[in-house]
Amino acid sequence: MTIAFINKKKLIEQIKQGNEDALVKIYVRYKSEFIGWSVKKFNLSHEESEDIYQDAILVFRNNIVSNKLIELNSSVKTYLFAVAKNIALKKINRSARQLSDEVVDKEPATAKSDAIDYVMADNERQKLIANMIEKLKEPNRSILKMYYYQNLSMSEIAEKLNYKNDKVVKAQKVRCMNELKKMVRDLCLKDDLKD
Amino acid sequence: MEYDQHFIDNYLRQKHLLTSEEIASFEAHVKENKALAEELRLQEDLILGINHFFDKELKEKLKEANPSTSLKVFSLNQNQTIAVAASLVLLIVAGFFLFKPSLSSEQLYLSYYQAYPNIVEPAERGQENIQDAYALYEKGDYAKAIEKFESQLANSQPTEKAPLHFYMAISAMELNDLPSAEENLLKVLESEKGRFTNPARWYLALLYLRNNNTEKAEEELKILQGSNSSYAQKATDLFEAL
Repeated sequence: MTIAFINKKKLIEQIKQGNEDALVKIYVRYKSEFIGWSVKKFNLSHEESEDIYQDAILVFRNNIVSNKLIELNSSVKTYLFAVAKNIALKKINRSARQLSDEVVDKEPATAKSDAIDYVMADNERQKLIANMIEKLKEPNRSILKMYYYQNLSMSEIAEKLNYKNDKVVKAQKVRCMNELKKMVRDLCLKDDLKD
Repeated sequence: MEYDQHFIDNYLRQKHLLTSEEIASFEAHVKENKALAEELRLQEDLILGINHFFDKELKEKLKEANPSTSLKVFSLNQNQTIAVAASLVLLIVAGFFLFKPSLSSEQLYLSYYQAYPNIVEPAERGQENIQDAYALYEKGDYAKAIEKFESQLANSQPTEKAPLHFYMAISAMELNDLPSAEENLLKVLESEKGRFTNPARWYLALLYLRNNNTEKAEEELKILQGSNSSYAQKATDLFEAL
């Protein structure tokens, strides 16, 4: 897959609109270069490097949809590598490996803080909820994805899913969230009874 | 004051939409009201859980985009080597003759196709029979859904037929009955322009792609590109990938 020239503005707009294929293209484009660099620089395995690079793409997406990243001053590659590097350093720190001062160097300041700010779901209830989402049917699944994950407005969702207006989408989303809340409460109650 | 789901959404995700007084008042209520505090925590966990799930889904997509191949080393004796080589030649020759349509069209179709969600509201669905049809469609029981849609078509006004043809077409695509899908999608396009026109054209383009008829797929995509709808960008992306 080749992309001769990346229009950064267009790329950010596509990601904002939930275009995951654009992310996949970027991912594929720098993947082997990053892995080669990461294996050599941080002495990480191929699999660890691949995992870190995937997390960097998730951070990149998250920063764009949450409006933390509106404009890229550096190249996409520089930004991605900087984010990935910080994830790698955190991972290495966590594993209590020794770091040389040389690797903590001059990446864009925003990329560093963005990577650190990003929090993955880590409590049991969130994992339980993730399992529930997997079982959700359409259009509920798409509505929740577009609203909470892609950060689209109700009107944008109405347009994308061909609903009459944003009010219908909003009502559908409220119903779906209320059902999920009830399911979580019921499950937690069952667990409490077991204890 | 009653705090609804929408307010809590804004508090958790878009605080800038609330005034400082609204935030202070809400936080004071949360401190006093145990049920509200629990509601807030639950909604926060739900949002994090949703994001966690879709992150995982995207990560899987990235993994599949370029799966790393871990090659195992086999040691083969001379006879096994000849057998493997012969099988490979057979596979290549068979593949050359058998695999039509081309893989690229098939792959493109697979990466872009997904069943259309049911967006017809209960109030719009009318009679009981047609409600059943949409319920069957949502459940994925496409064969039975088609039967119900068909029986409803006979009793419908011309203006009510487009959604029925549309969902019959998607059901047929799900069942791999492409001629029937094409027939129904064309009927949607023949009817008066409405909210199913662009989706029908999109699925028609995908269907042509599946049939390896890129010329016709391109014709439909070109129309979508000029449609000023959410399908314009999708059509451009697919067109470029062709």
